[in-house]
Amino acid sequence: MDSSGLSDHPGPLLALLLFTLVSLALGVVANLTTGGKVGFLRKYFLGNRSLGAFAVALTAAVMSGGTFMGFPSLVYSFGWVVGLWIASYMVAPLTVLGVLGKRIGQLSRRTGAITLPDLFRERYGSPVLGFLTSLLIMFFLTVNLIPQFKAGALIMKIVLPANASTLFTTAGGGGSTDAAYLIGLAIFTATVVAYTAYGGFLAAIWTDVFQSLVMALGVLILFPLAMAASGGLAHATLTGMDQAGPGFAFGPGAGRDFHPIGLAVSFFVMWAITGMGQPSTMVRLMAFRDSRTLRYSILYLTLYNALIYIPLIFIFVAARSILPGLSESDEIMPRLVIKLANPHVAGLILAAPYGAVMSTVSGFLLIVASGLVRDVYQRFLRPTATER
Amino acid sequence: MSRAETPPSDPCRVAEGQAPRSPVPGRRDDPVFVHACREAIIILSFWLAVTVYCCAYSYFFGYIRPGRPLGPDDVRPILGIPSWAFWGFVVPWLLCALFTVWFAGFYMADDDLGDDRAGELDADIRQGGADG
Repeated sequence: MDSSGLSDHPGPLLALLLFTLVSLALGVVANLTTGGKVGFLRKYFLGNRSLGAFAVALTAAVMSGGTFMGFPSLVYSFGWVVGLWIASYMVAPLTVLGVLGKRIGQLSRRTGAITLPDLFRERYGSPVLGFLTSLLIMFFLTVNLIPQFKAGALIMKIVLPANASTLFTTAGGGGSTDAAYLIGLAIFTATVVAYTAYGGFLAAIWTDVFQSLVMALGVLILFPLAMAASGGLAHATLTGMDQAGPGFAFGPGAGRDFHPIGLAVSFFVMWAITGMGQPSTMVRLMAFRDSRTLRYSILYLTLYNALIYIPLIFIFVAARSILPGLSESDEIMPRLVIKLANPHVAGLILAAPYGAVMSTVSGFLLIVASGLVRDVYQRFLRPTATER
Repeated sequence: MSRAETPPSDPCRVAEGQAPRSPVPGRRDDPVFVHACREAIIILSFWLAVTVYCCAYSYFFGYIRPGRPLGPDDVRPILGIPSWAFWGFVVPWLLCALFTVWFAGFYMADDDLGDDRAGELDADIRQGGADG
């Protein structure tokens, strides 16, 4: 991605560094809270089943790098039909948290489970099922982590000063490797691994909450700026139709059949129903404080989704008349931010996708770690090991 | 010691006269299970209604189909939003939020989820290791 305009100004880099420092600080505070040997694993991996409604809602929001990079690109490319693509998020909080939430909360307490394999193993009385669950979760989440690390590295790369990569390349004797990308990857990895490993589940949760609030703030800042700059949604829609064809305003989408109706039905199943089996969400269902907390978390998440996704659709439809004819649609988010906001505000808004990626990685890392510690090391290798 | 309850073949029902095989409340006597089932049925019915409405409305009023070309005159914006999108998913999204406020805020039952027995499970694992 062309980084001109971002690396020229220190604002975005400062914002991301500040964001990183706050995340690390939350990890330290979480570590102090988790202290003590009694019930350490339960505290470290489940936050002592004490999550409040706000924390459950904002950390189950399933935001990832795709929310702020891929989704805007889809809206910019294919138009209004992408709203239907994501529309099941209106009901997903109810299905994902409400259908299984109480029973998972009850069974995890009754069985004493602190990991998902624990839960399956104890609930069905089957060590084999527990082991298989552990293997499946660790394998698929590890694979899922790779694109998240890449997204985090790319965001860091575009805000790094141009001369940082030059210095790195010179020191390393040159070569064809993308030095800025490697620096971005190193910074991102060190940060997220540090606060997750040090602070455990609570660190991941607290940084998730912090990051989710930054994301919402970023969207709410960008929304009026985009509306004002585009001349209104109707104008932006007609501009999009001029550029991409009538499909920009209608289904199945501009340019190609992005979202035929059969696929639309499938996505209502995928987001809202299969989301119930998302490991990071199920872990939160083992960790909420009580059923009242569950009720309010459903409510908060519904409002949060409406607050994030509806404005995102409007913003990136409007982007068609603000930045017409962008050849690389994946760049629309940072380019729009640079175009509309001053560099310091741009840094804050760019922290949104960075935070989304960080929160996804921290959640996944913790599940993989809990699988290794509880379901492999403690169950099979050293059952009598001390908790710390 | 296993704290698992025995799963009946039907996830929402225990056969007449069947006694639970573990020292936990039978499913029909367990208010958490009864409430969870009732709430799950309502939620899944609501999800089905939302899916059918959004997809059907969007398809019939907002999709370009063979024999039904659409152009700028068919956008008919409401607050700048194409009419089909406004009625197809924006308004349903807001109504869905209202339903959720009622359902989660007032309808769902507050149930006692029981005591956390993580300490017992941990002791079992250690005991198994010491014995083995």
